[in-house]
Amino acid sequence: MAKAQIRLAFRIIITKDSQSRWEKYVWDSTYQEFLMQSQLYNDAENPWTTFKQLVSRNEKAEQLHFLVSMAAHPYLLQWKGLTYLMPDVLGNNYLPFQNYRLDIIDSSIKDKHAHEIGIIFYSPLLTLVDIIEGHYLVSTNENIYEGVETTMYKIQPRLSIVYYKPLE
Amino acid sequence: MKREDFIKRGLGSLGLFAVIPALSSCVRDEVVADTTTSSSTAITSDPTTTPSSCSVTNSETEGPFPTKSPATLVTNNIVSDRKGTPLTLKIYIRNINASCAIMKDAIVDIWHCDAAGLYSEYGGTGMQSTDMTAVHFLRGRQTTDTNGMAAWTSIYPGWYSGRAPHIHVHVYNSSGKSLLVTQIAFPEEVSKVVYAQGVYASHGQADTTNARDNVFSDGTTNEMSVVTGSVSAGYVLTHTIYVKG
Repeated sequence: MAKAQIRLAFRIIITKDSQSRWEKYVWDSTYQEFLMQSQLYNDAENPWTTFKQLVSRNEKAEQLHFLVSMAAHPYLLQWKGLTYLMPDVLGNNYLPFQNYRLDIIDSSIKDKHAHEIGIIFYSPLLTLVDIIEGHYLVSTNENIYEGVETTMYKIQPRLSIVYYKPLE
Repeated sequence: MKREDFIKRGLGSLGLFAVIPALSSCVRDEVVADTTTSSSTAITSDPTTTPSSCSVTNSETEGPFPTKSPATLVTNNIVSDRKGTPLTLKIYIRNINASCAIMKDAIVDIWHCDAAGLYSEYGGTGMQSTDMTAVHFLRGRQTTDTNGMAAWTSIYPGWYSGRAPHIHVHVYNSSGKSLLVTQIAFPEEVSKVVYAQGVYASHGQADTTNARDNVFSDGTTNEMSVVTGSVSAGYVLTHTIYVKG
């Protein structure tokens, strides 16, 4: 197994029930942005209520995933490249991320509680050294035969390998 | 339902719901305070009882202390990592429901393409490959000042096939209700000069004139901007937009 170059992706879901202050800020901020920007695609007199309705009637509303991400962006920058909701097994190191992508799961112009978003964090390229007891053993260094520093992430829901290239 | 009603309700509900998270976060804060202030850890619920065994409290995984930040949109300089001839935008908002008076505190969103004709947006699939700090280039939001003006520093927009050069504008009132979605047209003689030089040259001249453009072909009386300046000094665009406030 393993000896491959991989990219990990971790997706978080932010809803009305999210607990951390960071998630609450992102939830509030993206909902406000959804209310404003969805008017671009909605009917002024008879607006569709939910995001899913809006997208099914006007596929250009798919742009809202990107447009609403602008409200979350400053909060993503505050994390300075570390996915604080994805610690390694030690608990105080975090999966680094290079990029992210926000998606609106659903929302409603009438009910803030319906507002739910996902954010996928994409790691830089990592070397997958092995899979041990349900954990990815990874390194930021490719020369694993010379001995490298590693870290371990538990295999879990919403943590995925999104790029894979075998190494000799 | 009218747009005004829904946006009022929507924004009103922001205030309403804000109470609930505040309460629940109080509860959580207590828990966090408990675990972070005690270096040794109580497993039992009664803090006065010494447990038979214990382990170190998990470190806080919330990340750095978050601070409230305005959307990335709220910025004067929207150039980001894009290259092009400097363009200062001065957009005035006037209200036809108030004798054409200037409108202060209007929220104005603008967005336009770069020199190659590309907008900042998510690609079709997968992930972005661009620098994370530059994902939202050439998009901005400002609130009009006491002169009814919103201003940005940007670059002269490029063009893409089938459209004359343009800037998109979305005007809201101060509470976020949409008042107008429109576009600003450019004088063709200026665009010709800009597209003949610099990073624009390889893309060539625009393939669509204002007269043949689908959006502007009904006349650009209200949409044509005034653009002054030069390639070396940069250009200044001035434009007035009339809304029903």
